[in-house]
Amino acid sequence: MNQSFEYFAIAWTDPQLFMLTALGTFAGIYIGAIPGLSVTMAVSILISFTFAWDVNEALALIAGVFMGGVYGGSRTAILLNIPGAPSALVTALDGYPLAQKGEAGQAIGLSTIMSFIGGLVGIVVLMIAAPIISEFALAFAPRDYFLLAALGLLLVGSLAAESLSKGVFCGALGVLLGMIGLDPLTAEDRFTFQSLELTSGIPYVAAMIGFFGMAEILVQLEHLDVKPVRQKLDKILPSLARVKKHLPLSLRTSTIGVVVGALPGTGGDVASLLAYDHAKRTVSNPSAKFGEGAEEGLIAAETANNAAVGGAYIPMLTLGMPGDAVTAVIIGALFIHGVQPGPLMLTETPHLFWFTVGNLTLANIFVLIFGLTGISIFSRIVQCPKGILLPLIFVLCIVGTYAIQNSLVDIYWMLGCGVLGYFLKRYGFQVAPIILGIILGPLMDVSFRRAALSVQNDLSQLAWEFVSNPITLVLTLGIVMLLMSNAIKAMKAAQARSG
Amino acid sequence: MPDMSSEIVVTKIRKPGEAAFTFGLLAFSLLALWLSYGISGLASISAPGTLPMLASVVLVVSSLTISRQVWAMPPPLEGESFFRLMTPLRWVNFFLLGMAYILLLTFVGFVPATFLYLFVSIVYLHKQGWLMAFFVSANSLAIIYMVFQLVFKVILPEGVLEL
Repeated sequence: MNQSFEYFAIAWTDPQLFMLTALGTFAGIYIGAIPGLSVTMAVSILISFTFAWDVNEALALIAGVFMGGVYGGSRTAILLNIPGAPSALVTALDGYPLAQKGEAGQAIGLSTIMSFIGGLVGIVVLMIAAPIISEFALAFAPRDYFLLAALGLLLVGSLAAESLSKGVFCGALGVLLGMIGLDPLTAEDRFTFQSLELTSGIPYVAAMIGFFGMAEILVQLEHLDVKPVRQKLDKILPSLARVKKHLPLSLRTSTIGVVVGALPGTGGDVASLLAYDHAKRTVSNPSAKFGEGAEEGLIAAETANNAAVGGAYIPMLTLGMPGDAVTAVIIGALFIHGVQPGPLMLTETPHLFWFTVGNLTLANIFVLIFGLTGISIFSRIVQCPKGILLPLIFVLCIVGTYAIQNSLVDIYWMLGCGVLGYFLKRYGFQVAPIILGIILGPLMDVSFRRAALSVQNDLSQLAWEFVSNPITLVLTLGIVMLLMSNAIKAMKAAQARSG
Repeated sequence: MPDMSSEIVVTKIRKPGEAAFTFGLLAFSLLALWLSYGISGLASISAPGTLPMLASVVLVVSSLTISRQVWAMPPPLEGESFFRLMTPLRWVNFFLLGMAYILLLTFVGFVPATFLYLFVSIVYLHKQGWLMAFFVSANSLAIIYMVFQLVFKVILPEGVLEL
C-alpha cells in the first residue's frame, strides 16, 4: 500500500513531472477549446516528439493534454456554440443558451467544478474498481457493442435534431459515410468508385472540422452585422449551495460517464449523451427547459465526459483495449516506450499504473485551477468582431485539417462537409449525429458482422440472441423504449393539435 | 432542446428550396441503397454490404418521412428566391476567397497565402480599413505560425514555389 502511494506521488513530488502535467493540462484546455484542434491530433503529435523522452515524462504531458482537452471543449461549446471536441457536443445544447442569457461566466464556472467532480469520480473508480468494471466490459459480446452504438446514435438523433426523422437520417448518413473505404474484415471496396483516395475512408477529424467549424463559419456569415452577446464573465465561481444542490445528479452522471468510458470504443461523446438523457428523464424541475439553458443538462454532460477519461483508462491499462480514440493513441505511445498494457500490467509494472492514477489526479486539479482562470481571454475572442474572427477560424480549420495527414485532399473533404453541413443546418438538420455515425459506424459494422458470424449467419438465431442474453436484452429494450417514447410523444402532439 | 412534438405539430411555412432539398435527400438515399446492394447483394448477414444496406434503408425511410412532413407545410411566400436565401453574395464571396486561399497554399505556401487571405478577408468582412487589417493579419499569422510550426511542429503547406 505504501509503495502504491509512493508511485502515486511521483508526479506530485518530481518538479519536472509536476510542471509537465501543468503544461499539458494548460495546453490541453486551449487545444480542446480551439475549433479545429482535437485532443487526438494533439496527442498524436506529442507522441512524435516525446518518444525519446522518459516514459513518465511523456505520460505526464499526454495525460495532462487528455484531461485538459476533454474539459476545454466545453468552453467553445458554451461561448461560441462550437464544441471543441465530440465529447462537448451535448454541452453546447444548454451551455450556449446559458451564455446567450448572459450567464456564460456561471456556465463556465459550473462546468469547471462539475468537470473536476466527474474527473475525480472517474479516477477513484479507475483506482478502486478497475478490475470489476473491466470484467463487466469483457462480458460484452459483439452484438452488445452494435446495440450500444445504435442506442447512442438514436439518442443523439432524438436529442439534437428538429425532429426524430431528421436526427435518424443524419445518424444513418454518418454510418454510411463511415463505411467508405476498405472493409476491415475482408478488405473489399465499399463506395470507393475505384478511387485510391477513398480506400482509407473519410478522415473523420476533417469531417468534424468541416461539419462543425466550416459550417458554423458559413452560418455565422449571415449574422456578421449582429453584435456578439456581451458574455457576463464576472461571476465565475458558483455558490456552494448551488454545487451542493447539483451534487446528487453530478454523482449519478459521473457514474454513467465512468461506466460508458470503460466500455471499449465508447468515450466521452456517448457518455455525455447518455448522462444528458438520464438528467432529462430524471430531473423533474430543471432550472430551465432542457435545451434552453438548463444547468442540469450542462452538469450531466460535463461530469460524464470527464468521468469517462478515468473510465477510458480502465480497459486500456487492464485489458490493453482503448476506451476511445485518445487512449488508442496512448496505447501506441506505451508500446513505443516498451510498456505492454494488459492484464499483467498491474502485477508486472504497478508503478506505471499508480503513477498514471496520481498523474491523472494532478491533471484534474490543474483543470480546476486553469479552468477557473484565464477566461477573460476567451471573452475577448467571443467579443472579437466576426469580420476578424471568421477568417481566423477558417485558417485554423485549414491548418487543423492539413495537420492530420498533410493532405490537401482532406481540406477539400473538410470544405465539402462544411457546405453540406451549412445546407443541412439551414433546413433544420443537426450535424452531430453525422459525426457520431462516422465514428461509430465502423464499430457497428464489425460488431454486427462478428455477431452474425458467431451464429453462422443464422438470422433467427441472431434474433434470439438479441432477446435471450440479459445484457443484450437490456440494450434492445432501451432502443425499443426510446423509439416508443418518441412515437407516443408524436401521437400525443398530433392528438393535441387535432383536438 | 428540440421538442419531439415538432415531428407532427408543424405550423411552419416551407422554406424556399426545402422541397427540392428533401427530394434530393430521398434520391440520394435510393442511390445509396442501390450502391449498398451492389457491394455484396444479399449474400449473407455478415457480408460487407449488410450494414451499408441497413443504413441505406434507414435513410430511405427517414427521408420519406421528412418529405411527407415538408410537403404537408404551406408553400413558401411569393418572391423568396432559393438562391438569394441560401447563397447571399457575402457567402459566395467568402467561399470563393477560401477556394483562392487553398489554391494559393498549393503554389506559394502557408505564410504568404495566409497573410494575403487574412488581409483581403478582413478588409472585406470587417470594413475598418486596410491598415487595421494589415496589423491584425500580420499579428495573427505570427501567433498561428509560432503555435503550429514552433510549438506543435505541425507541417504547414509549403507550396510548389516554396516561398
